[in-house]
Amino acid sequence: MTQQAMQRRGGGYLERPAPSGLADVVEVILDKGLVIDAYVRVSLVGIELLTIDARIVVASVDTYLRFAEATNRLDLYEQGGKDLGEFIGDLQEKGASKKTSGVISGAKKAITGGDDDDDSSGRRPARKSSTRRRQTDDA
Amino acid sequence: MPDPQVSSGCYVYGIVGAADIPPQECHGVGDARVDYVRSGPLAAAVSAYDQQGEVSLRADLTAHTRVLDWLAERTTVIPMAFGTVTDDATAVVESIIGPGAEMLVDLLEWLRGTSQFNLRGLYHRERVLSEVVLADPGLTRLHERTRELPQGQPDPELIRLGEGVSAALDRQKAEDSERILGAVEPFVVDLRDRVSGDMDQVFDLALLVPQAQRGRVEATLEEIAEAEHERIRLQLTGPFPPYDFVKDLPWVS
Repeated sequence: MTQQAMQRRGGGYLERPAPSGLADVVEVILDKGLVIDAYVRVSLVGIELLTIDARIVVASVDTYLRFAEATNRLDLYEQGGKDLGEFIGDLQEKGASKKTSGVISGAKKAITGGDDDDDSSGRRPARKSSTRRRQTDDA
Repeated sequence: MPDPQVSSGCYVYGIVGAADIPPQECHGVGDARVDYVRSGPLAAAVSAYDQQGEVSLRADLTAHTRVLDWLAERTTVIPMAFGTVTDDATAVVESIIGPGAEMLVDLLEWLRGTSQFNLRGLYHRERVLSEVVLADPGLTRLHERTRELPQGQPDPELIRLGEGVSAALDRQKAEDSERILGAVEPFVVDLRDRVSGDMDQVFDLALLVPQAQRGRVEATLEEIAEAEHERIRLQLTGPFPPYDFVKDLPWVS
């Protein structure tokens, strides 16, 4: 889309896909940009065509069934060539060290003061602003 | 003042500082030449638009993005939503630049020297689903009891499994997001959630990155992507105009 976006970093783990097709363009600008409430003077042409509301994932029976089926399609016991006991052992070990391991989470705590630990909806932007982020489920 | 000679409408791409209008020429929707409507310290990038004409979604979207990319490469721009059309140049001032002038000036100042990058984290589904199920004995048992059931049958245990997996994945996402984003937050001005996606998506964010921090953001993300690559794929796109950072203004509906 832009010159820089076309550049690819060679050999890296960080993927740098270059937006190219129409779908990528729509993905980037869909529902974005400044919208003016100016009564009749401003019209948004073509917006109806783009109102693809992919934002709200309703937690319904169907959704749960999807998760269950995704889970049961897997052969959970063949991950990484380990047997079940070994794999669970790894996980428990990993779980036990979760709170203390990782320089990254330490850095995060240092920066944020760990004030949003109970925010189950995920993290929130660092900016302390008067313009609050709109919730994804409002229209 | 080079007001556009428009009879039927004015397509508005975005708002720039009146002092920062690029001198070069650019063409936009319907191949019309991009012009600027000035008002005080602000200017709107516009082009003539035939409201009776045919809408070509593909061509118009491409032109809209192209003009905004072009502007963003040369100056700071507040992108308008795709498809913003006014009756004429006067309406651009009355409806768009005039009412929110002060706020738009502040917003331009805040955005100056930054670009938007979009960052998406995607789980390797099999790996992470296995982790969350095997880490929870209750889910493991449910999985064992329900795995032979025919697909699509809303068995209560299957629903409980899905509910449990969904909740466990949400917790896992929150934890992974916090760890990963904590590492890049120091180098960005702001970050916003974008579109919430499927079960594989850890996060989908827009980062507002100062020019000077671009290298550090990329280097940090590369480090994380390497460390996490067995569980999570990280995708970074951009730079883009700051599409995700111009909403939520108080005077905007």
